[in-house]
Amino acid sequence: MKSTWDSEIRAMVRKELQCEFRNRSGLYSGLLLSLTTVFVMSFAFYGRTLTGEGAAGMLWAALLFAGVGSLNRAFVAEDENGTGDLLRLWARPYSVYWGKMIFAFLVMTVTAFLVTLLFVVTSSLDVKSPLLLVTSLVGGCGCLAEIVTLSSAIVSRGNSRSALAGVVALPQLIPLVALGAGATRAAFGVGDLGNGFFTCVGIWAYTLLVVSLGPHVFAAIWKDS
Amino acid sequence: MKYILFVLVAVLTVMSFTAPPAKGFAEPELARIIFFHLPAAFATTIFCIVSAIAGLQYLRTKNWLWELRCHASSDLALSLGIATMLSGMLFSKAQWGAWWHWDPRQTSFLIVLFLLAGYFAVRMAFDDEQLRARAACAYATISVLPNFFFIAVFPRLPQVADKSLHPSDTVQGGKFSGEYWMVILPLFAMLLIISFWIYNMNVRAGLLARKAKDLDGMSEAGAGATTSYRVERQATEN
Repeated sequence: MKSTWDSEIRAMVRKELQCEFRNRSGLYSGLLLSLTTVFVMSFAFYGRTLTGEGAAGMLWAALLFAGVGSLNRAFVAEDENGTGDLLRLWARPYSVYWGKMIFAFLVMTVTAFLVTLLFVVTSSLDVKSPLLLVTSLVGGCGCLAEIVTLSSAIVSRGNSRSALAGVVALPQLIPLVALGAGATRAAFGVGDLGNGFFTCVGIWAYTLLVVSLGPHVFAAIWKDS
Repeated sequence: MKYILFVLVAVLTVMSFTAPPAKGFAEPELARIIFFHLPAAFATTIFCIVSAIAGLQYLRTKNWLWELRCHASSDLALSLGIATMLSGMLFSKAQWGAWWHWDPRQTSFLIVLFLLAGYFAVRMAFDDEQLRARAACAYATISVLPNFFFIAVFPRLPQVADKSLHPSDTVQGGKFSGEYWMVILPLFAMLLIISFWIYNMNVRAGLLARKAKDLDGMSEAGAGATTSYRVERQATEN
């Protein structure tokens, strides 16, 4: 029986979720990494009230590090465990890509919402526009998942891949952090809310651009011949 | 060709000193740095785009010529980017009093340099020629998006543009005198000609290196008497 696209993607997501539930390392390490980043950065505000501007920057820096921390899980781990070739034989490149991407998006979204909730509650921040905060976080998580998946695929068969993955992914994620911090700052009540929504559109536009290019680039590098 | 370019460089250098000092700058005489800075920035952008197109073409066709073009253009984009950054820092020191200001434009261009340097980090990480070409071309293709963002979008964001010292409004708002453009545009054209000349030489050198490698492999497989074979045999015998 021939498998279809959607069944392959579903199977990929299921496989990733099962691997994650087996050891739960991905979610734990992502959460810990982002929370540690927030608390380390909070030393800069010691004895002072955290402003919306500082909070937005800290939140996105934390999400950035959570994303970069999960780089190894996508494709580097497959090649290290020797399961990459099996995936190449078993599924179409596009299915592998979307399966990995959807899983990364789920993990990033859970991490982002937990970190944001903890951050907002512990810092007593006033969220002026929850809608803006949520839409920018969801769009940002999509972009993070996309770039992390693609960067991991690019470096998966190179030397010193862990270090290289960061070099490849970090500069590509900085536009997202710049836009994300802008939109979140407005959501925390700093600056014009209209500008914040405009910046949020920027996040989604960047995400859509990366999503439209990513699968094709991935298909070209994933195939062996 | 070389002699014509030499004469052009000499003429344009003289013209850059005879142009009147630019108005609206703290040190109008030293604003001439723009004559080199602006064309180098434009050329960096052009080679970023060429590199992305060549990378995408390689991924589509797997033709080595595109990989060589991608490598040559990334090389030039980085070199011109460094020249832009250095001349920008010189301008910053002359006009604003410090080499580095953490100005949004300076910082965003520094990230562009990191993105361009990342291409070479990716290339160095692969031993296998085909994997290296694929990964590097994929990187060149996807990095065009953040490059475009940092060059064209980020400095124009309302919350960023207000805080920047960069005289973008002087260039875009047509505040430069005609004499300035009479020097900047020919300099830009000349820089592009020289850059594409170097680019072409790089691509041709890469093609020759590939041909030599293929020939070496073919003779090794046939007669078994190439230099690399002899060196290898000698090493085994010793």
